[in-house]
Amino acid sequence: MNGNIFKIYKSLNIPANNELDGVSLFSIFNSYQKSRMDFLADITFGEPTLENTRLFFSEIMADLDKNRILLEYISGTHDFEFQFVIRNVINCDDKCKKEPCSETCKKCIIMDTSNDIGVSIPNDVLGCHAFYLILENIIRNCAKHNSTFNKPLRLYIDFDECATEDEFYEVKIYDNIEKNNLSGLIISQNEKLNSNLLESGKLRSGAWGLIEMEASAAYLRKKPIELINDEEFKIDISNNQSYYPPKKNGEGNNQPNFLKAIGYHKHYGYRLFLLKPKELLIVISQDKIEDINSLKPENLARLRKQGIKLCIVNNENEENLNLNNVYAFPIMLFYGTKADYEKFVIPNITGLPNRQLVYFAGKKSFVKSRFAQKIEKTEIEFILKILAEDTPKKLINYIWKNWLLKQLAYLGLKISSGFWRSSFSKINIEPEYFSDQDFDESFIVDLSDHGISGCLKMLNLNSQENQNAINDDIFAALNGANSFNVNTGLRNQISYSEPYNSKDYFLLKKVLKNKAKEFPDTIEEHDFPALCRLIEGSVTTIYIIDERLQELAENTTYRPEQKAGNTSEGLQFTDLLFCTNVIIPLSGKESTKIRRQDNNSRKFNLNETSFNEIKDKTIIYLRSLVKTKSEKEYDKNKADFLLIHLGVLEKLITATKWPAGKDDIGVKKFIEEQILQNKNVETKIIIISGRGKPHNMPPGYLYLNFSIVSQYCIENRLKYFLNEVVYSSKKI
Amino acid sequence: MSYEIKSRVDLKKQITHLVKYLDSFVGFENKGNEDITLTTSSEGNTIETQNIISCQIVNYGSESDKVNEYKVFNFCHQEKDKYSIELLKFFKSAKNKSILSICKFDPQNDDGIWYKDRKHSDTVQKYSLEYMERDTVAKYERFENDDHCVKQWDNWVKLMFKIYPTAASVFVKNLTLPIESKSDFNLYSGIFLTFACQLNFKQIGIIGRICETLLQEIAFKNLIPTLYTDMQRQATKAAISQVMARNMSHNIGSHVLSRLVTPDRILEIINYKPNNYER
Repeated sequence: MNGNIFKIYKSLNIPANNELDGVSLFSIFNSYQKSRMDFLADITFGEPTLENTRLFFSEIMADLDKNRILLEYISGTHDFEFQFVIRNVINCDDKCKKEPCSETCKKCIIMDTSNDIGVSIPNDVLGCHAFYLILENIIRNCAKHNSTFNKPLRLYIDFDECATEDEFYEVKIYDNIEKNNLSGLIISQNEKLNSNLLESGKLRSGAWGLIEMEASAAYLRKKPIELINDEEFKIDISNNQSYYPPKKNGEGNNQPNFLKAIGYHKHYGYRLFLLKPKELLIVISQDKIEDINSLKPENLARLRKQGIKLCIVNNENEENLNLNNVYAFPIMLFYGTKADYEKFVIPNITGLPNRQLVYFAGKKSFVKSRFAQKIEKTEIEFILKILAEDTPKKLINYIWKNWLLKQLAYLGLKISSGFWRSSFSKINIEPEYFSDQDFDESFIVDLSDHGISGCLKMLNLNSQENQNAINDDIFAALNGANSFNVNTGLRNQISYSEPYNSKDYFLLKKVLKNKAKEFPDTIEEHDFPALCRLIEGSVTTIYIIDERLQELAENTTYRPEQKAGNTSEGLQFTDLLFCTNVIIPLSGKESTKIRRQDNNSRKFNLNETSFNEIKDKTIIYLRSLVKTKSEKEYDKNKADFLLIHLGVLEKLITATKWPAGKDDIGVKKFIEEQILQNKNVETKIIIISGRGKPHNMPPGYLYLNFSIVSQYCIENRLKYFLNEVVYSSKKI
Repeated sequence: MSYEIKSRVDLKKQITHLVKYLDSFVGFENKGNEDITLTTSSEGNTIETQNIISCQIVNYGSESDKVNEYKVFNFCHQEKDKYSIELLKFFKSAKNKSILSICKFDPQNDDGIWYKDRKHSDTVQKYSLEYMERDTVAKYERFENDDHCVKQWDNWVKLMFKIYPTAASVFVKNLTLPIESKSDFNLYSGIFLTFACQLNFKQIGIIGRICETLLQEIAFKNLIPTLYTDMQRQATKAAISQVMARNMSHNIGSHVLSRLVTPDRILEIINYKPNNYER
C-alpha cells in the first residue's frame, strides 16, 4: 500500500475472486460492516441458538477474502502482506500433525472443496464474524509485534480432532515466524487471559484485544461470553498442551478453555475449539431402547464424532431430552410412542429441528405435516440396521434421501429419472438408496448452464437485448410437468428458477458440476445432504414481511455479465426472489416485470411511518399466507415459512390499538389471535429483528437475525442458503 | 422447594411447621412454643395463630421471567397445582404493571397491602387504582392492565374462599426490593394469608409490618447470593461490550474507515478494475 494506488491483496488463492471491481468491493465492505454491527448486538445481548454447517475454506474464508478493503487496511501497517494457509491434519499422520507450517502434504492443505472441512457456526454469518474478529486481532498483532519477516507472512489455521471432546475441532492459528524464548510470552499472554476483566469493579486496563478474542471464541462455542472469567474455563498455564483448567482436588465441572496462547515448536499462536457439524438428532422412547442395545460404546462415540446425537426420552440420565434446551440439528428422527412425541417434542417444537422424520410404534394415527413426515416400518428397520452397522455417513445420507422424497411426495411431486440419471449419474450411492420406484417422469429438476438468456426465456422475458448476455451463470430450475412449454411468465407454470453465480459458490459448483474444470465432476458421498437441501430449497415457499428488505429488493438489480454494448436492464431482486419462491410484497413504488396473481399482487408499502391506512389489508394479507393444518391440499402460494419483522408487528399493534400491548405476551397474543386466528397452523412463523435479543420477543417463536436474512436475500442472494437458515431457525 | 401441610385439622401444628420451616430458611425466631403468635407490642391487636388458615410466599426476580424459574413456596394443602397456577397468573399480570404502580402511587406508602374480607368480596377495593384514574389520562393504558390484574386478584380471592370455607378474609403483602447497582433488576416477594376472622385496619398494619420483615429476610437470604453472581456476570458482560465497542472503533474505524473518507480515495477504489493492480 503506497497511499496512491489502491491495491488488491488476496489472502487466499482463489482465482475466481479476481473479478471483483471497485464498486463490488465497497458493497462487500459495507455488508461486512453491517454484519459486524449485528454481531456486536448479538454477542452482547444473548447466546446464539441457531447453528448450521459452513465449509471453512470455501464459504467462511472465501467470504473474508472477498473483503479486500478490510484486508488491505486492517493491519494498520504499510505493506503488510499476509496469506492464510488452512490445513486439515485430522486424517494425516504424525508428520503433518507435529510439523507446523508444512505445506508439502497435499492431503491436508485445503485449497478447494475436495478436502474442505465443515464446521458448525452459531448464527450463521454472525458466527463467521466471531471468527473474523479473532483473525483481525491476530493480523494486527502480527503487524504490530513483528518487524522483520519474509513477505508475505503466512498465517496457518490447523484443524485437528479434539482429543477429549467429541463435539469439537481443535483449531490452532499461528504464524510462520520462528521465535526464540517463546515460553515467557506464552505465560504472559495466558496470565492475561486468566486475569479478571474487572479490577475493583472497573474494567481492567490493557490486553483488551484478548478479551474480545476470548469472548468471540466463547460465542463460537455457544457459551455465554461472561463465562470467560469463570473458574471452569481458566487456563492451565503450567501445561502448554492441556485443554482444561488446573485440577483442584479433582473437583469441578471443568471445560476446555475458550482461547489459549500456545507455542507450536518455535511458533506463537492461539488455540480454540470450533463446533463440529451437527448432522442428525435421534430421539427414542424408553421402551424402544432395546432396539439399539446392540450399539456398543465405541459405536456411540463414533456417532457423536460424526454429529449424530442419541436422546432417550423418559430417561433420567444426561441423554434425556430436555424441554428447555435447543437442539441445533438440521434434521431429527423420532422413534417411539405417540404419547412421548406429544409430551416431549410438541411442547419444545421450536427448540427442535424443523425437519422431522417420525415413526410411531403401534398403529397410532399420524397427522401428515410438511415438517414432520411419517416413515414406514420397513424404513425404520432399515435405519436400525444401518445404525447397528456403524456406518454413520450412510445413515445420514439415507435419512436425507428419505426426507427429500417424503417432502416431494407430500407436495405431489416425484423425482424424474431424467434428472437423476443424466445430471447425477455418477453419484456414488448404494443401489438401495435409489430404487426405480422412486422415480417418475412428472417432475423435472434441471440444473444446467442456461445462463441469463435461458433464465429470462423461462420467465417469458426474453428479448433481443437479452440474447447478448453471456451465459456465465448456472441456471437451476425445478419445474412441474410440461413446464418447459410455458408461454407465460406466471409462477404457476414454473415452480422455481434461479440463476446461480458460479463464481461464488464452491459447494454448488461441485454439486452442480459446473463447467469449471478444476473442480471434481463427481459428487462424493458427503455432498449428498447438500444436494438434497438444494432441491428442498426449490420447493420451500418463504414470505418475508420486512420494510428494509422490501426496499432493498426493489432497488437492487440482478445484472449478469454482459457483452460490450448490451444494455439489458436486468431483473429486480424482488422479481428474482419471487421466481425462487421467496416472496416480498410489492410496495407499489417500483414497477416489476413478473406478473403476480391474487394476494401477491396487492401492494403494501411497509416503510410507512404509520400503519393506520394499511393495517386492515396487511392483516388480511398475512392471514391469507398462513396454511392451517386442516387444509388437505398443499397450496404452494401459502407460506411454509413466514418471516415477519418485529417492527412491522409493533406498527400493526399500534395501528390496531391492540389491548394486550407490545410486550412479549402482547406480541404473542397478536400473532395468535390476529394473524393465526387461534388456528392450528402448519406455517412456521419466524420473527426477524436486528436488535440482538429483543425485549419483547414473543416466547416460543422462531427467531432470525436480520443480517442473516438480508445476507441471503440481497448481498449473497441464494435460495439454498436462505432455505438452510429458515430451517435452522430456533427459539431464543 | 416446597412445604406441604400434612393435615388440615391441626391448625396450630401446621403453623408451627410453617414457622419452623421458615426458621430453618430465613432465621425467623422460633420460641419453641406451638402457640405461635404473630403479635406486636400494641395491645389488643394480637392475632392468634389459629386464625391463620393458610400462608403462601412467592419470590421472583424481574430477570427470571420464565414460569419454571419462579420460586414458589406453596404451603397450600389442597388444590395445590391449581392454586399455584392462579397465583402465578396473578403475579404475571401484576408484576410489571399494577403492583409496581400501586406501590408507587400508594398515598400511605403502605407498600402494596391488599386486603379483602368475605363480607365485601363482591366489591373491588382498589384505592390505588382510583388514584391512578383521577391522576392522569396518560395512565389510561396502564389502567386497562390494572383492571385485568384486579380481575386476577378477584379470581384468586374467590379461589381462596372456595378452598378455605372457614376463611373470613384474605390478605396479601407485596414487597419490591430495587437493587440500586442494577437499575433494571427488582426482587419481588409476596406473602399470602387467609384468616378465619375479620381484620381491622390496625391488625392489617401489624401483619403488614411482620410480613415485610419476613419477606425481606427471605429475599436477602435466598436471592442475594444468586443475584451477586448474576450481577458479577452482567458486569463482566458489560465490560466485554465496552471493550468490543472500543476495539471496533479502533480497529475498523481508525484504521480502515479513516482511509475511506476523502472523495479521491473513494473514487480510486471505485475505479479499480480487476487484475490491474494485483500484487
